[in-house]
Amino acid sequence: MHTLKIGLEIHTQLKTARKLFSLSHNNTSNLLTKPNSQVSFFDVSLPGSQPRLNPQAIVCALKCAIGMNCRVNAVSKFDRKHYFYGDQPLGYQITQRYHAIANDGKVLLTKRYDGLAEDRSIGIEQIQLEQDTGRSLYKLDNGTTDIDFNRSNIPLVEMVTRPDFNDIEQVRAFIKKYTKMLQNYDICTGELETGAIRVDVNVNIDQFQRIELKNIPTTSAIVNAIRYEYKRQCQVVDNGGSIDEVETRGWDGKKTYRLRSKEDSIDYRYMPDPELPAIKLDLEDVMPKLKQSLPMSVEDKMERLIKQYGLKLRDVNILMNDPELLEYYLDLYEEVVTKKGLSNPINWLVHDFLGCLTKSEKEFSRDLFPIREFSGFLELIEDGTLTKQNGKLLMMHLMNNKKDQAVPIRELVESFGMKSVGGDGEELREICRKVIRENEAIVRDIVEKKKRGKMNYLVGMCMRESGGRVDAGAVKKELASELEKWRPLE
Amino acid sequence: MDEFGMGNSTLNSHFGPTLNPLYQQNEDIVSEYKQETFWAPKADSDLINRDILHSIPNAKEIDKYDEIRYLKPILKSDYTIDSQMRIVGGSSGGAAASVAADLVDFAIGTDTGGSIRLPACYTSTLGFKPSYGRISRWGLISYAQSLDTVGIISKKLDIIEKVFKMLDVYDYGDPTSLAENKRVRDEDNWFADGRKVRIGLPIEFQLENMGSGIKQRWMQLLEKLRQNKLIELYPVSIPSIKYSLPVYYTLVTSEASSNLSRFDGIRYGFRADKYTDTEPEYTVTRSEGFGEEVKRRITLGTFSLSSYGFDSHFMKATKLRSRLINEFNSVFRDRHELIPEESGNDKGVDFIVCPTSVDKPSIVSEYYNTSPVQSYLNDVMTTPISLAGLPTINIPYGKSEGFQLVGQFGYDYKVLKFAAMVSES
Amino acid sequence: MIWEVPRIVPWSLIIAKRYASTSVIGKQISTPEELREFLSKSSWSTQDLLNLDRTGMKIDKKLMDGLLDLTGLRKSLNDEDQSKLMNSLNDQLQFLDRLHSIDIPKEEEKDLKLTRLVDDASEDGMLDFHKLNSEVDSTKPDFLKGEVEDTWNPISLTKEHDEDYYIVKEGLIKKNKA
Repeated sequence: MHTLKIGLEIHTQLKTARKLFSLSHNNTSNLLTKPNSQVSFFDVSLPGSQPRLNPQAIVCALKCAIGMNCRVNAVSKFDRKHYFYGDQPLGYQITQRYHAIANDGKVLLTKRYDGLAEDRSIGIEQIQLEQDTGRSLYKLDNGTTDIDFNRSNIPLVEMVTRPDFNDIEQVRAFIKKYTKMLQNYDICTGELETGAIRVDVNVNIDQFQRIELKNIPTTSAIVNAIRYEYKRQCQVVDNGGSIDEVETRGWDGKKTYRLRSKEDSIDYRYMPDPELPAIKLDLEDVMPKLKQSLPMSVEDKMERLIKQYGLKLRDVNILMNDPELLEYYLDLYEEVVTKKGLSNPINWLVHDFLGCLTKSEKEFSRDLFPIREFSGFLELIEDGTLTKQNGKLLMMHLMNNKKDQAVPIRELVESFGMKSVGGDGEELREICRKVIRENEAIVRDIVEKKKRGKMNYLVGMCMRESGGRVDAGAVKKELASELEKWRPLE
Repeated sequence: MDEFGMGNSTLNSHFGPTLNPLYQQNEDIVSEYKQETFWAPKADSDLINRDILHSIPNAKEIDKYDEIRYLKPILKSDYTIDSQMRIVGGSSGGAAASVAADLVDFAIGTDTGGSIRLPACYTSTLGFKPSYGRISRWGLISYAQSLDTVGIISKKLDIIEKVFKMLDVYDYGDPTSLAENKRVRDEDNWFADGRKVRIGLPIEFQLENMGSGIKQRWMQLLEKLRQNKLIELYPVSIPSIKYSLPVYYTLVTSEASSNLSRFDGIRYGFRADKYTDTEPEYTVTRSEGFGEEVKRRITLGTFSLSSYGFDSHFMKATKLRSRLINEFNSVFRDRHELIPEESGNDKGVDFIVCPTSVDKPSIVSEYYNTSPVQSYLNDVMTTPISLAGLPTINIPYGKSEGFQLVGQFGYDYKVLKFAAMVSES
Repeated sequence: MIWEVPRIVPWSLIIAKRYASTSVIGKQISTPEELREFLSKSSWSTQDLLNLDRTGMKIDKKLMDGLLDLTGLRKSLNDEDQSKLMNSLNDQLQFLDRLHSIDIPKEEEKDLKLTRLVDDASEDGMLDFHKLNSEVDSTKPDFLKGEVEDTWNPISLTKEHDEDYYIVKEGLIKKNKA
């Protein structure tokens, strides 16, 4: 068994109105924009153009540093990373190698909020500001490459973790957590799928060198790539080899493959940028005020849902993924629990309501099932007028037939003949007896041959007979009691 | 401003060598001047998709364009440069020559390590290099951004002052533009109340290999200054001057190597249109497009920035530059606006004075035989001051000779005022 | 030898710092004799920078090829050009190697505040919360820098392009992307 160590390098496009070192429009993920239409003189490195830092990028980077519990540096500087590539207009990227904006952070992954088996602390090495490059599109037919500089000079934050991950689930949880933090603080436009967030992974086993995996587009691909790479490295070592040099590999969906090795590696000749002034921050003033201006952290929001609303992590995650749905739930709870004293509507919302949405191929919106109607519906469930089964059917109906929502719900239930079997239970007894009479063979199996499993068949028959107006639980009970008394007819 | 010519001779520019108007040249080296014309879109708001045209626009469009004509010199295929011709200096040699030849009243150039002062000296004109950051570099092709300074050449000091006043403005677009509150402006009496003007003479500029002609002139000048009742002369020592040449050339080649990385032909400019499997087009473009001197310098710069040279050369040079800045600062009486807590030496001097060049400008034919390193040595008097970003003016004193009047960082107007006083006497 | 402060000039007034490299201001030169004395002493010659003891690192063909690569230049030079370049580089490197011998003591490092003439050292331009926000609010795109959308056509500056795209003719090799 080889020990696994993983580190992440995540590049995030910042949601600023304008770009990093010039004020051309920052139009990150929109691929429908005309190529080379959102570029300033500096973005295409016209001789004589000069960079000027956009202060909004500083604010975003600071928010990210807060989210990662980093130490922000009062003074940070810019460096140039030199290499030639068609999408790099200056022949170098302006980044922060030596004096970045923040260092030494920590993220705690927990059972409680991240669903891990065990808590794990992940160290954050550095958070730095840097430029994005243009986009290159290789044209197969004539072997040339088209270049679009709309993306050039868009602000990025690069976040490097320490190699503190020892399990793939931690990686998955971290990426999710990081993405949620970015969205919560409104720092980033999107997700991995859009390319707004790009993750590179460093994998190494035991004491061997790390292998860098680049350009992996989705979280599940990352998980698969790490799994593959771990296996591959183990195989190398088990066959007597060793991994002594840093190597960069890509992922093709099935396996990792070498992109470049140490011999091909480029000397980036990092040089302090001679033109750009240092960022100087009055930390004592900026940090407390910035923290105060931020919304509640993701974990605090989750804690509130867990504690105050008694929710399980799985449901918390569903709500946290959709702010509108969360609002809706909170309002529903207010109405149903706080005002009417009914039980927590979470399951009805998360299982049944969302289930109906999927089946009806609809997107969530509050108008589909307004709070008032929903709460009226829940009252009927609570007081037994409507069984769970019929409730589901009714909900589906109401969602797809909006005009029936105007009808008082008890009337509707009556008119559909959905009213539960209730009262003294006489009707239920009748139904059970009828079913028993009509299914003598099965009954014999149960009573004489002790085939208890066939009970479910009888329960199902009763439900059908009742038109779903009884609870399965109640049916079982009544059936059991009737079967006790049953004697075969001669 | 010959960023692609580079070097301090202006002999290897794109259109041919620039000659020094002070020296005899019997034969015209140009066979003809070709008139070239282009049409540029007028400066109005409707500028989308309007290109610069090289043939006349059609009748409908012609009103939207300005016609611009210029003369392009065509060199004779076998011209000879007179044996007595000397170099004009560089790299703003063209600027200095046009002023010296009375073609213009003033010219703008850039001074990175002496490229305004040296040609001004060689053409016996006034060449002013302000404090670093006072005149915006927006629009200037960058050579070494931490050193590039826009300067002014003219025969008349009042013209220089006028032009400087107009250009001495904070520009938000230039990240190195000096903040308004750090610009020391024209004070009414720099030299009031009979206070003597103290002039420092760095002993490190007393070079063994100073040309004898220059030495003589220098002595004469100093004797004049010594006799003047308003002036007191002091020897000063600024030890770091001795290695400012290697410091300068390390930094300037490194920065140039970085700044010229953008020239790959893809987005603008010359494009080679050739490539092979092993040589991508940009390498051919750059190898054909850059002159030999440029290629040498940027390759050297790459070395200084590479893992081989970064700590030993580049970082070392950076620290030594800082030390030089401190040393200069400590001899001045005035306060350095960027190091406020540290400065204002009340026993300090108001100005530093030194020759601009070590010797007369080389004879052109001899210059072609000089190695690059040998030619660097000509910059010994100007580079230390460039590294410290101090305001300086070359004041001509004899044919192709001059001296520099240097003030504390930020005290540009003081330098200009004193230059006027000195020129009068 | 040539890095020391010469002892020949009389100092009666010395402004000293604690380090080896000390800048000083000497006694006023008031008489013609004092001036003559000053002018007669020369402290060094630039030719000293050229002494030929090749102690530093030498560039061989392999290193030169590597440097040409990094500089974005062709490596396919003929033999003559190659040796010319290599010699020139070695000469220049020799010249720059001077810097090795100079030591900067640790105590001096913290006084080296300004490595360039940009305002890094002072508290001016330090951003507090209010200033940061007001700068964010006041930044506007500048037409004269091409920052306003739809005001200029970048493609018009190059002769070769593929409709709205710039082109790289030989295609790009993904492995070389940083």
